[in-house]
Amino acid sequence: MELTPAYIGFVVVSAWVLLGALYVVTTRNIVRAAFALLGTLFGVAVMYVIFHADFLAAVQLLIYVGGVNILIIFGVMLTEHMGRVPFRTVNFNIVPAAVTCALIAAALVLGLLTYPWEMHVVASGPMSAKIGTMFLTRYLLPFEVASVLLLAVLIGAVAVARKEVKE
Amino acid sequence: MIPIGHILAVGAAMFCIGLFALLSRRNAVAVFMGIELMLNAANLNFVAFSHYHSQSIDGIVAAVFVIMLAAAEFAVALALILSLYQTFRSVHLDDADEMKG
Repeated sequence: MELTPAYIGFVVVSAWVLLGALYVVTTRNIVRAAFALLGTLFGVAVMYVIFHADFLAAVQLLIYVGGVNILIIFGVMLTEHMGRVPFRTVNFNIVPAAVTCALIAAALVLGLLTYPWEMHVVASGPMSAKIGTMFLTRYLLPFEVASVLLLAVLIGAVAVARKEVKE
Repeated sequence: MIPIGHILAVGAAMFCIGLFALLSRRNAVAVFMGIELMLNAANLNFVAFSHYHSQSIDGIVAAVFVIMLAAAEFAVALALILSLYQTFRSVHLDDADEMKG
């Protein structure tokens, strides 16, 4: 396997993403964890660019980096005690959790690296139009169900989060 | 050409890092960060398979649905976390043990 620029870029971005993810799950300051998650998700968007998934990279930036991460920071800021040491979060059961995860990761990585995958690369151009066509033909029903689900989530989130008014 | 096994291995490693957060964190928001990592790892696999499968972009469409569901899930999760905080004045998951026998 030759070292193409795409492969070198992939290795660098992978290292960035995995180190960021490790920082997210081990740091004791939850605000730092939220910002490290922002960097990690940005790295995933860069990976999508490497795999020619242009539309998905844009969606990742808009929804994850721009939306979900802001929500997470809102969640952190709205739920922290002001009295105690602020923004502390710790890991419990580190040894059993780490051993479990390391075993699962080792099994998965070993299997994935040794399996003879078939790879057919086709030259791919812009993909938004194809995705739009898929949404309105083959995936029409899931698309409509998703819109109903989003409406339900919108109402449900407000209903759950509001304060009960005592009569 | 990037070998697909390497991409899937990165996804698997990211998934297990998220799983570690799920198992070891006790702050509800930190647990959800782990879940976001796991969903992103799954998405990475979808994109990798789509990239190396000729004439098909089903993987990309699946990944778009996953992103949509993750955003919806986190909106509900934030509402639940706020509700938990109002009830127990804490987001430490071990504090929510009302139904413990």
